[in-house]
Amino acid sequence: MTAQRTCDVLIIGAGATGSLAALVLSQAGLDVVCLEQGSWVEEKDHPHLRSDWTWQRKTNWNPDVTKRRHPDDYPVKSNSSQILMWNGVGGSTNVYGAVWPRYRPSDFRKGTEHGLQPDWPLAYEDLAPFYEQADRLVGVSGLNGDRAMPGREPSPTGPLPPSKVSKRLADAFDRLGWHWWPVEAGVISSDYDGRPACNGCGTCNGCPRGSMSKYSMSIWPKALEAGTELRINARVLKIEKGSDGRATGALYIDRNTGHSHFQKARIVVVAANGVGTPRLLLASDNLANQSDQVGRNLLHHTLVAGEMFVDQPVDGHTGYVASLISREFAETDTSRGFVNGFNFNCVTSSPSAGETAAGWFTNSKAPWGADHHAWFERHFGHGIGIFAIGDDLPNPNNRVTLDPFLTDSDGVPAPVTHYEPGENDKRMMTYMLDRIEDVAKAAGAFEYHLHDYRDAEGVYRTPAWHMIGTARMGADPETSVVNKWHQSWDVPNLFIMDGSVLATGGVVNPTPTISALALRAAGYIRDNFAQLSTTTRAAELNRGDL
Amino acid sequence: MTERISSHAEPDANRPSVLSPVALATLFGDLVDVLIPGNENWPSGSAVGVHGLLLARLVDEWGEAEPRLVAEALLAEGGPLAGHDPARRREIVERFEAARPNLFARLNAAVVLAYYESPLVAEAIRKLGRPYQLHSHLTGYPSRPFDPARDTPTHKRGAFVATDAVKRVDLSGLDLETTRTETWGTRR
Repeated sequence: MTAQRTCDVLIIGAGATGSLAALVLSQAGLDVVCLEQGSWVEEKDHPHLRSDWTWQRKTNWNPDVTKRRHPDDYPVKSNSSQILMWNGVGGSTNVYGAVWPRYRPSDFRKGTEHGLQPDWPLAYEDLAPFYEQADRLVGVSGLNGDRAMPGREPSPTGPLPPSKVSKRLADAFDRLGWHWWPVEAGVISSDYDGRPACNGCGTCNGCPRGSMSKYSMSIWPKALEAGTELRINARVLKIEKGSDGRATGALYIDRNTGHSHFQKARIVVVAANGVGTPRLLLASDNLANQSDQVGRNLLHHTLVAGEMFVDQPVDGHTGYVASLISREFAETDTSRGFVNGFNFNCVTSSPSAGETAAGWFTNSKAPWGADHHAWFERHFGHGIGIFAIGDDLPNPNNRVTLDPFLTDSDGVPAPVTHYEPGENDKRMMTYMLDRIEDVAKAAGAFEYHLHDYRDAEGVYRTPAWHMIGTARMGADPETSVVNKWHQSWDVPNLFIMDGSVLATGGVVNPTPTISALALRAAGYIRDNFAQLSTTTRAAELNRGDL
Repeated sequence: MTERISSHAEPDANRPSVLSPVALATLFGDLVDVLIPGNENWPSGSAVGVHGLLLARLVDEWGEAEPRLVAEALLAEGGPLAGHDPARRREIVERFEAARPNLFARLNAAVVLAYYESPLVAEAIRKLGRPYQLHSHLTGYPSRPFDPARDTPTHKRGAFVATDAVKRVDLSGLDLETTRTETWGTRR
């Protein structure tokens, strides 16, 4: 093992938040090292340019880490969830869809609203400037003026082209008297920051063009230019802690050489996602876990889906994958029988004729045999997808733990996830499905199908694109892992910057919020670096600050 | 749960099939044609080479013995398909589907995806009048840019609760602590 220089900030994970932290801290002149267990995902690595890309989406390019066999990955065991994760520079932005809505002000005040979730130790207004900053970096497209959200700066690029699907759904929502708005996307509608505008290919499963903000193309070049030292194929085995209670750095293995190294650091930032971060903390002698909250309160969102087919062609296989968002049901209304709300994320359809025929996201698929072609002719180009995504309640037994036997190829214990929806979540999902039926009928669908992601045994197997809440922030060290600046209550120079810190899930895709939080936390480290480099009293220091 | 009928480490992975390679090729060609037959507008599965792709993927994803084991599963239900009329062929495949539903679903999905990868099938789709590109990422699809005058929503709907306006809601009617919903979701 070799020891290396003491860097100012060590970042573990080169995904969305790791890249943003690296950018902010390097631009401030700090000596930043980032360790990433995976490698770069080049344009040629994407399946988008190959004839077999639909097959690749089910196998090697599958966002679910348990369904592909990549040496960069580590095993994840789950008795419930499918696990979206990409281990590489840019993280899961290599495979995501970049729907880009923000949290609502009430999402930060659920403790006040009903007490079944905690209040965040910060408010929407604290985060709003960082949403704007993240949007500018990413080049978000969208339309100002939505009454269902607080005011905001104009999106850096205008709304994406409205599709036939958008028009059809907008008409349906109008008939129902429900809110709708063009979706915000981390996809540029015009050339931006050296990247080409979206060409509407529909293959929104990562984007090798960079039209969809893949952080390895939008953020990392800037971070590297600012001086971040990025080491790929560098898998962290353990974060070490000194006798003074401060993190001293991380032991990692260079997967190219097999040699292990110890990277000393004044400040350590963990940005390894909602599964990888608790895994690493638990594997590091239960680091930062005096509260016993590390790994607990795993949130995935309540998620159900519908697929409808309409007579007039809508060509849902073309254009950006999302069309509209409806915030009609986003706030709590207890007359519905549950707390919290949900959004409709209206999508288009699969870009693939094969996926349409084989079954896309419901059980609707072409029959085999003589009727196959007639079904296809009736359905292809006529399909519309819709997700309902809601705010699930935390449950300490929904959690990430370590498998006692299974390890990755370098001996680090594999994470095990367990997730089960609670009473409130089940009621919400039933209500969501009823409302999706309303939309399908209002859209004049000749056929529609619903999906609740339950298998034959009734187990809810959510796609779990969102893995959050497993090292949540709070105002109380007894019930949270980090404070409002993402600083560990237990280890004062340890910061967590990824989805694991989210105290509630909101009703939206979390990447915009995670990105904004990372920018805010990185700014805090930058502005307080001297003090943070030496303090041994995180909790006391920040209690007074809250 | 995914049914896995073989693995690379299976002890009898090297056991030869009861069918000759020629008969196996015929069997898989016949099978994909039962699943996706041709007509005047659409080529059949075998006409665009689906069985070749399928066999390669069975091996890549599930192991060297997979084609043989699929064939044997089909034989167990009355195969091979050659020499039978269309009704009997369908009956054999229906029995295969009933006996091995998970395996069949996986196989059928692989057949369908392979079929629609064919440029000849893409051409058939375009003849329907729908735009379709196998490599749409290269070419994109034409679209009409957002026109603020035409495309901005005109409804006045939508509201949010501001931070300072968040108030306690009454949970007394929800009975979340004691009620246990057993029938929910699509089984509501």
